[in-house]
This record gives sequence, C-alpha cells and structure tokens, in this order.
Amino acid sequence: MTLSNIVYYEPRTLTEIFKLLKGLNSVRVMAGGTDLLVDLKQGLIDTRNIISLHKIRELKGIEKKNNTIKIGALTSIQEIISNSLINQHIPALADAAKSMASHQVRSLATIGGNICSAVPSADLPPPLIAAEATVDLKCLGSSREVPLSDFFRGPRETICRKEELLTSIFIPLQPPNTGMSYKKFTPREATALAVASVAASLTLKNGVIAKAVIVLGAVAPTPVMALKASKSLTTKEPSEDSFQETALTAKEESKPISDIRGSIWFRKELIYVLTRRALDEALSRAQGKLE
Amino acid sequence: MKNFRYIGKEAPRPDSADKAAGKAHYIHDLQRPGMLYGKIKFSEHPHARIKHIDTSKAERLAGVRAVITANNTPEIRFGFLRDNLALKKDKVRQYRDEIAAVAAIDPDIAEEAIDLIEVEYEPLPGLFSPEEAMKKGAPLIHDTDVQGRPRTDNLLSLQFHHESGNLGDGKRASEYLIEREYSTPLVQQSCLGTAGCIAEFDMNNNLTIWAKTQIPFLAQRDFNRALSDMGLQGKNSRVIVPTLGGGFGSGLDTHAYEYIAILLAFQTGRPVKIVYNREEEFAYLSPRQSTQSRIAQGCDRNGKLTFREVEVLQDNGAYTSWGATYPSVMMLPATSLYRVSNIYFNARLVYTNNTYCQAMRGYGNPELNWALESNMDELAEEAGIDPFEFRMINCNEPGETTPMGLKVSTCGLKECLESVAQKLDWKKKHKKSNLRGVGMASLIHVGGGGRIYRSDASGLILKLDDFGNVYAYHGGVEMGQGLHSVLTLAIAEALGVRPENVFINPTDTGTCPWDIGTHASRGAFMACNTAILAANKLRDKIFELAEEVFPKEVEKNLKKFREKNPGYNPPEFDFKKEAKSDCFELQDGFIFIKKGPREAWLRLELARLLRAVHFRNQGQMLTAEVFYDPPNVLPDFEKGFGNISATYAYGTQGAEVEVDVETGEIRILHLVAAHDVGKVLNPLALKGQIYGALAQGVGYALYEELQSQQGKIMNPNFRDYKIPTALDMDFPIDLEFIETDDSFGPFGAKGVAEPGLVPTAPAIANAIFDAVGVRIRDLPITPQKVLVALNKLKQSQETPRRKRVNKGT
Repeated sequence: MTLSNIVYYEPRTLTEIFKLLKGLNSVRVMAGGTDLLVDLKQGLIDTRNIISLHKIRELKGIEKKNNTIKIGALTSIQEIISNSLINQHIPALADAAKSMASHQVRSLATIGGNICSAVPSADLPPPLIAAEATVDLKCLGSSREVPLSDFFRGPRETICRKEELLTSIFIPLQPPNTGMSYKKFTPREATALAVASVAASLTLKNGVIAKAVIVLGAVAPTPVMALKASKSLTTKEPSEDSFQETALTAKEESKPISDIRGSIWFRKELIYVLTRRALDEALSRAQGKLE
Repeated sequence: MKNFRYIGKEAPRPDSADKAAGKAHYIHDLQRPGMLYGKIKFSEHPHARIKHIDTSKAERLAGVRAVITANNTPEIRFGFLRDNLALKKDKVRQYRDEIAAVAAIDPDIAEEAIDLIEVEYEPLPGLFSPEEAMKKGAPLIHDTDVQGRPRTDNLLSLQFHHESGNLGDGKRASEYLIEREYSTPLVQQSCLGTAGCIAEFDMNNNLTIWAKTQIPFLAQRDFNRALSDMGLQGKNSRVIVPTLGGGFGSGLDTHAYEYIAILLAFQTGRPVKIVYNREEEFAYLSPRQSTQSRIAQGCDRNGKLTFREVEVLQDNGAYTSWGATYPSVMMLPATSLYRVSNIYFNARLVYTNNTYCQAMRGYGNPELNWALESNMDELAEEAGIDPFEFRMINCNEPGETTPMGLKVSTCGLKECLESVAQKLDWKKKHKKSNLRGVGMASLIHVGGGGRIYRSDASGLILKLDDFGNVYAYHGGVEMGQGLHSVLTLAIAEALGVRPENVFINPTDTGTCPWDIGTHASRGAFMACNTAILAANKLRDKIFELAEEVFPKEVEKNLKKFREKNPGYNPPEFDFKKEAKSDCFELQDGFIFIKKGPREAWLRLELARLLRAVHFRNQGQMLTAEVFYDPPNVLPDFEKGFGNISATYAYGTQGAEVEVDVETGEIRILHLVAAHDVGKVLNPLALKGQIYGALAQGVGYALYEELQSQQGKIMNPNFRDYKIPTALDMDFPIDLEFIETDDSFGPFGAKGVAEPGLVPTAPAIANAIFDAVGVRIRDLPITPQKVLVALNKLKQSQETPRRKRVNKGT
C-alpha cells in the first residue's frame, strides 16, 4: 500500500504524544520504523496516523540507578551493543542485540520497538524476561510498571493499551554469581530471524543452583518461560546430566509451529540443543569463567 | 604464450568508480519529460477464469491517465513458444498473471488505482507439481497450442534427447552401478537492480525503450512484432540499455511488463516507466526452474565409467520462456563431462500453475551438475574408489570428440582436479570422519559462444577521433560482469593504444551492430574476438595512411629535435625509405617503424596522423566494422548432437566443511576453485567474477529456495529468501586459473562467466557426506534436512546392531 494517505506527527513532548494517542482513532507509534514501515508497505497493518517518537530525547539512553538499569524505549539496538553498563551487567542482552538484523537496521531499530512489535521471534525479549525486566507503560495522568513476562498476549499483540506508551525498560541488577546466556539458531549469519532461541539465567549459591530462568523464543505465539525446565534445576548441582534433562523438559514445553523457517520437529530439536548450550554458557558466566 | 601489454594485467574496471560513487544511472534513476508511472494488477488466483474486470473506480481516480486490460488493447503474444499474453484475456494460469495496468502521474496514485480494480474470478483446480500435471485426466493449463490446435496433455512439445552407444552393453559391463534421484528448487536471480523499463513513442509512432535486457537485438525483434500487433506495421523500436544492476539471465527474454509499458505509452502518448520493487521482483519475475533428475551410472572394476542414464523433469510453470531450453545445456555435462560411452539422456518439460521460469546463470548446467557430480561421488563410494582418483580415471582430454559431438580443442580438467586436490590437502583430509570433510566437483560449459539460435554472432564498430581516442560500439551488454573492462583491454592490446583512450558506448540498437545477446558465457569471448578483428582492420588503414604521413611528420619531429639538441647526430636509418605499410607498429598510441631505432623523434603520435588525414583536402576519418560468427554449429537437440561451442570451459571446485551434528548447521571452512579459462584477460575482474559466482553457488547449495505454496511465492523478500551475506562468505577462498591458450579464444581465452557457480553445490554436498556420512539429494542443503538425515543414519546404524544383539541372546 502507499503511505500518502497517512498523517505523520512529530511531537516534541511526551504530553503531546499522550494527547495524540488519546485523541486519534487509527494510530500507530513509530520508533525506528524498521518493522512498522515494512509492515505498512506490505499491507500487514493499516493506520491513518503515525506518531514518530524520534524528537523525544528523554526516551533515549541507558543509566544505572540504585539497583536497576533503566533503558529508554528509544535506545537503538546499536547503542545497547556498545554500552558498557549492558556489557558489564547483562552481556547476554548485548549478545542478543548483536545477533539482530544488520548494522544499518540496528542503528535505526530500538529496544522499545523490538518489544512492542511483539514478533514471536524477537531477540531482546527472551534475555530481558530471563533478567526479570519490567516495562513502564505511561499515558496521560497515569503510569504502570509490569513485568515483561506479562506483557505479550500473542503474535503482534500486547497488553499495552491504545492510549499507553512504553517509555522505559527496567532491569534489576542480577544477584552475585548469576550468569546469563542467549542462544539463537538462524539459517545464515546476518539479517536472519531466529528459527528458535533460548535465554537462560542461572544463579549459584554454594555450588548449587539457587535460581534458574529459561525463556524460549520463536517456538510459541509469544516468548515463553519454560517453567518446568526452569524449576527442575533449582537446588540441583549444575551438571551435564541435569542440563540435558532440563533441555529435554524445555523441548517438551515448547509449542512451535511449522512454517517456511522450520518444522515443529526441527524447532523442538533446536530448543533441546540451544537450552543445553545456553545453560553451559550461563554456568560459565555465573562461575566467572567468561569475560 | 605471447607476452601482452595489457591483457593479463590487473586493471580496475572502467565502470567501477561511477558505480561506487552512485554516479551510474540505472533504470531506476532515469526520467523522461512528462513521464508517467505504470503499475500492474496481478492475478489473485493460480488458475481461474476471468469472469469480469471492473476498472471504473480506477479510471475515476485523479491523476490516472490510462487503465488497460485485454478488453481495450490489442492482443500481444510473446514468449519462446508464444504461449504468453501481455494482458490475460479469459484465464489466469499463475498467481502473477497480468490482468490490468494503469499509468498515472506518480507511483502512489498508480498503486492506489491498481487497488481499485475489481476482478471476478471463477477458480479452477490448480496443478502445482509436474507429477500432478502429468496425471491422466489432469486439467489442461493450455487448451490449445499457439496454432489453435487442441492440446491433450500438459507436456511441452520441446524435445531434448540423446542416445549413443548401447545402454544394455554398458550396464552389463558394470561392476558397480548406482541409481539415484536428485532435485533442485526455484531460485531467484536476485539482481540488486530490479527489473524495469521506460517506453516512449515519437510522433511517427516509432518506439524508444530503455530496457533492462541482455538481448537488445532479439528484444528489438520482439518489440517490432508487438508494434505490428498494435497496428503499427513497419514501425521500429530502438532498445537502449541503461546501466544494469545485474542480469544473471533475467534479461534473456522480453517480459509482459515491457509490453504493458509500450501499450500504456502508446495509449497516453507519454513516456511510461514501470519498475518492479523488490517484492514484485521476487513474486512476479521468472526464477530459475525447479528440476528433478534420475541418474544411473556404472563403472567397471578399474573405475572406468561404463554408462550414464539421465532423465530430467522440469517444472516449466504456466508459460514458456527461453529458459525452457535448459536441457540444451544439460546435454553438455550429461554427454561430455568425463569420458563415458553408452549414454541415454531425456528431458521432459511440464506446464504447471506455478510461476513460469526463465534463464539463470548456468542455464541448466548447475541443475544437472548437482545430480551428476553428487552421483559420481555415490558411485565412487559404491566402488570403493577415492572420488578424486575416480574423476582422474575418467578425465576428459584435449583433442577428444565427445558423444554429443563436442570438439574439445583444449581441456585443463586434469590440472583443475589436481590443483583442487592439492589445495584441499585431499590425501590427508579425505575420509577422516571427524565431522569435517572435503568434497569436489567438476564442470564442463560452453566457452566459445553457444549456438542456440541461427546466428551466434556479434558485431563491433570502432571509430577514431582527432585525438587518438577509440570509441567502441558493441551490442553486448555490460551488466556488472566486467564486459566493458575486457573489451577495453582487448581493443587497447589489439590496436596498440592505451586503455585510457578507449571508450565503450552504451548499448543501443540504434548505434551498435547486432549481437545475439549476452548469455552462455560468450560476452568476453565474442567481444574480444571482434576487437582483434576490428583492430586489425583499423590498423591496416592506419598503416596505409602512415606510408604517406609518417615521413613528413617525422621530418618535422627531427627538425624540432635538432633545434633543441644542436649537434645531435641521428642514427643511420632511412626512415623515408622504410616507411612502408607493412613495416609499422602501433603501441600505446604511437606509430613506429618496427625495425627502426627507438628515438624519441622517430615515431608518430596516432592523433597527429588522424588530424593530418582528417583536415587535408578530401580528408577522411577512420572507422572499422566487423561481424564475427564463431565456428560452432546449431545442434540437433532432438538427437542431442552438434558442436554447440567453439571451445569448452572446464573447472573443478572443492570444499572443506564442518557439520554441527546437533543442529545440522554447515560451516564452510575453505573453498577452492580451479578453472580452465584459456587465458586470464583481467585477473582483477576475473577474481571478482569467480568470488561472486562462488557466493551464488554457496547460496544455491545452502540457502536459496523460492518457496511456492499452491503456486504462491511465500518468501518474496531478502529477509526470507536468503542469499549469503559477506559474513556467510567469511572463509578462505583459493582460486587457480589454468591457462590452456585456446586457439579459437581471443588471446587464448575462453568464457568463464557462468562456470563459477556450476559445481559449487555438489562439491559442498560431497564434503558433507565425507564429514558425517549423510547424502542430501535435494537442494538447498538446509540444517533441517541434514539433521533429519543424521537422525535417520543414526537409527539405521542402531537398528542392525540391536538385531545382532537379539540374535545372540
């Protein structure tokens, strides 16, 4: 479709945005535009109005406050890759960011856009959910903070209401002896969506796994926590056998579909392999063996 | 081999700087005054009757200048079998069938208008595989042939067949025999510059069309026929080729969008531009055919091939392009790659409701080479012979005439095989079973033109100006492959001027002599042969004139020289007496007397000679024209016999891979490509061409597949249709060029444009087998296929063992 019949807004303040969101009927918010414009051109979505965020400076940037890292929704993927706070505290998020698209797309695309597009194969949500991130949803006169794990409802569907804007992502600093990893399978090295992906987080206490979170991507309508698999590791000593068993559980928990990128069978096999590899790397990081 | 001044030396391509700087003008950049934008309405069904088309809403949209359908325009038939219509009338036979088109003042309005056209269909059952289409009682995709005779099945009438020796004898003589089936997918040419054209009529109703084509002169013929169909008998079309962002075979036919632009331009009286966007390019442009082949081969105890049986089934799609004649090229490897007597080859082509296909780099060769070279390894395994040794035992040799009647003038296949084995460290790495493996595959291809039409010729006009510059008018098409680079060097070398003084004019049927088209790896072979012939002609003229001009001008030189160097004593040499037409030499734009001393004054600048003869009374200017038709013959494809090319290109490629047995992922560690190119013309351009071909070969092997579901293309974009990126080509590549100095080749060179991607896929598949013991027979080799095969292999290895245990207990 053509974009000529769309009204384009470029507000300079959040208040203006909230007013527009409330007042307009058919409206979409544009951050980097790398999903939205493609979807519009292909006729996958239809809208009369576009509100661009790119003049809102306060939505950009990464900062540490108390025990939380705050990432502005408009922070580009490239900024996440090269940010020292991220590389120091949640390198798995930088890994996920690095695996996305191409340099050109990463320079435009934003973390808020990657979350709000709610594509099942999105790369940032799994490690963010594994890190127990929350998101700030704001509208005129109110705001609410929700865990990212509760944010997605289905492919391209979230709990974000029409008048709301996702403004920031909060990631709690991880407890000591925590390691995270993101593993993704793609058919080629760059510009490829995940066929399946796994984020894992392990926290060790006295040589035993105190807490484990495993999140699966591209194998369900939304990123999903593999709850059984995660639980099966707590209080266990990390070992090849326990990781293998957990990986099998994660494989059983996954509910992929068959499409042009891979069959159900293949995706389940990948979940098994990727879970094991993610746990291995998370363990090394928790033990301080990496970086 | 002769010593050359420019040929064989690295030289940047003359077009590369402009392309890198964004100064080259592609069809997308071109504008004409008053130009309108055309857009096409494509079918929403793979097979249906068109009940009704309502264009009234589109016509009423402001800014729309024309809306056309088959109902308000003359019928224009086109295609290799003329079974296609520019605008479809009663029936659609594929998703991409053109139903209507608009011309509007801007692209957005054109697009909006297209969405306002309403079409009522009556869906018909679709046929989406050759098997379905060949079933008894299957619905007919074309009810009649072009002559209007009723058809009885969906098979194409084209016949490609070869039989030689005696298959039965061959099979009986076989100690080892293997028969397998292989398949290849639909693949897109993936040109970075998408397809498009601008059509414009003058007030005399003659057409000028800027077209993205590789066949300007056949296109002129096609377009003139269309003008005739439009009631413009005797009117002419002029085809101008803008800078092309890749061709890869996609420009070997004329296309419906071109005829539609012509119809819209005629109707509106204004230039009309149609350019495909990426999604349209993927969904509505013809890709490479998908094929299935069955190969049986045998060998005796010593590994000598005893017979070869090849059957090919090609999904033609709904209409027929030149690409339907792929089997004409498949015959080459089928009959002539390695020495084998007792051959059977047969190809069938079937209409389906899938997208119709066209040419792509290699033209049938990669498809059959995939099957043949995979099968060679399978037979070697069966016979317990090393695949490299097996190929050496059956290697082609110079001087042989193959069962198809190909006359092999030079052949560097043995050297290519040896080079690949050495560079891969074959003896050390083959059969190591450590998840890493090596594999190789070879090829034969036309290397001296390829006669698939009654003329295989190419012309060249050279024009000299007052400044010693040479302008070339050549009908071949530069599409990014480097044709203008080698033509420049060839003219400079053959004539004796500097490459900086050679200018290649844009390809234009109004100014350039006829050329069959830039296909079949013939561009450099043909252009450089015409360059040598034209340069010889031109030099003869120059030397004839020099007889008169040289003594006078050199006398002046000497006078000036003496003024500057008083006391100078010239060497004993009577240049006035020696200045005879057959005694001159031209080098870097200066005329010398061959046996004379090399004094600075004893030479004449070409530019001065040209001005001298131009500005005298009854002056003259120099041009030369030649027309070269190579010594090859149009084969009888129904019998599969005839020396289609003047010479043949050979090559071997090798791969080392590593397989992740948990995910099925394949990592290429090393690629080697050794090609018999006759003679390297420009090493820089040649390397670029082979690197590019290898990337395309890797794409064919591992990534590329246009996925069609019920005739609809499911991945019409570069996100879902995967070609390798630079990151996927991040491994060492070794190139080796074998120079066999072919007597038919210009400076000894053969064509090499297509060969670079022909054997890449089987080399990789053979390496995968060597690494993990699984054999993938359908391209592309995706991780999923490898993992499935690994699982099957594991099960088959476990099952017998368990049985044995059971027996024991």
